Amino acid sequence: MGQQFDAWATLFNAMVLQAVPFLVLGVVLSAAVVTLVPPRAWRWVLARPLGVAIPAAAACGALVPGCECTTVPVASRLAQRGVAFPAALAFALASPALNPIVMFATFTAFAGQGSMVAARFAASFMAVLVVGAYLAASGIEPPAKARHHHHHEPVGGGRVARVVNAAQHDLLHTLGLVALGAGVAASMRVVLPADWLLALSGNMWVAVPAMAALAVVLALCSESDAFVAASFVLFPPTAVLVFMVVGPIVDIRLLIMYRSVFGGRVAGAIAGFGLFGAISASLVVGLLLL
Amino acid sequence: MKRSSLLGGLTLVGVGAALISVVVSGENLFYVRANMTLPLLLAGGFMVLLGLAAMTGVVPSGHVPFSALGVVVPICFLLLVRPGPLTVDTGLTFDGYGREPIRNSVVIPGSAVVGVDAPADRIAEHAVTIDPSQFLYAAEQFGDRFERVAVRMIGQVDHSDPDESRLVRFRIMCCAADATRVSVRLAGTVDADNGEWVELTGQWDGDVDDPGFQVISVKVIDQPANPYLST
Repeated sequence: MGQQFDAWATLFNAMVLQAVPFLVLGVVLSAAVVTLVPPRAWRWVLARPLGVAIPAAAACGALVPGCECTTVPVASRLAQRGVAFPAALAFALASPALNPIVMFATFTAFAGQGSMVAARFAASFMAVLVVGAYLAASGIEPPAKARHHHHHEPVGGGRVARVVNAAQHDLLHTLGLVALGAGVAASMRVVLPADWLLALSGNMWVAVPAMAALAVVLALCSESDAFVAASFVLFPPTAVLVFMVVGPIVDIRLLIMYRSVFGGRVAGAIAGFGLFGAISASLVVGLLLL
Repeated sequence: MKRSSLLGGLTLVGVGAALISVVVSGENLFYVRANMTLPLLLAGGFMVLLGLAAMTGVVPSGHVPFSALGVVVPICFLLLVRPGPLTVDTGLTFDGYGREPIRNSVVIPGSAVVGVDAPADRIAEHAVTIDPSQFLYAAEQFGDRFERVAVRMIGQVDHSDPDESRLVRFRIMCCAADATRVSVRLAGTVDADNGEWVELTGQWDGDVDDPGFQVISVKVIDQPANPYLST
């Protein structure tokens, strides 16, 4: 029990410490961008028909290096500024799933296998589009209260004061959720037997859901998941791809944050559409490219 | 001063101070890569400033979200519990050995080529220091030539398998949560307790399928400041 607690605490500290700098960067950037960029700029950029806005937002997000921990604050702040929620979420999901650092990490982890990098990019992009499209089609949105929960108390001061205040609030909010998610993910790691995956690697139809479930449970950073994925050499390449595509969109930490910020209905929709989109896109792309 | 400003500010100062304290002690290397040291310091400093701004009223603060309560947990763990790095007893990590061809690079200086079954003092004098990951790579890449090389490795001894002992290091990509266990089979007697850090000298035993390290000398050492390998 002592060793298990030590292991849990080490994993917990590791996940929190790894996340905090990115979290700080994310909330500062999102607070600055959303507070300082005038509303008309957002309207011009993203208040387009959703059929255009969602892919455009995903493409923009792919250029911005971000981690999963920034997804929720960024999406929340963008939606708060009037960007359609599916487009805001597409931007925020694409950033950790598709950014150049993640692609380079994948390239490195798979020893220059361009096909795996291409497959990851294509499948992740499709998955983000699926989530955005389904959210748009279903009309599921965070309740107004959730979208504007940051404005319980009007804060005075100039722009800098508003940026600082927004950053304070978002940091406290998301750091608390990251800590909760890290605690759950570390617990799962301690509880699960070390070699349970090996037994599942032989059958494609078992391996795919197993790898999706593992991605949800482990809650790894998208910048590191490729290295872990590359160690699963006994698994079919498509199942490995599923692991890398699911993680940045749906994992335990993210689910807790989705639930807390956007409400249970939206969190359920993102989880359902995200898993469906990530798995189906990976199967299609894996069939074509791997 | 509003109570919420004080509470929120104190929490941020607490997290920031915890981050700085972990970095100053060097124990951040138990959890994350060395290249996160500066980002952690900057993040910690930023949070302290942000917290002080809230506490002193320099910047007006809004309400403190309920989820901020969760921040107290990492503060306690970072400041008070601060567990050590992963060990061979942890049993949580993905075992890179035997599943993944270890990708790495290694440079063997000519002086380390001492011949097969070289005398112990010659091995100790000329050994090249590499890690278990590089050892596996070299055994795979260099074949017979590597048998003539004197090698020094450090790591933790794992006696958990009654049939064989292994030398273990953990390789991390981002943090301890993605650690991969890299281990080398040890041939010969290793007089050290399970989990102890050792410095070994010896040579590759020539086994291509399950590369082993023929141990010539064993020295028990302190845990290194940076216990993980990183790519």
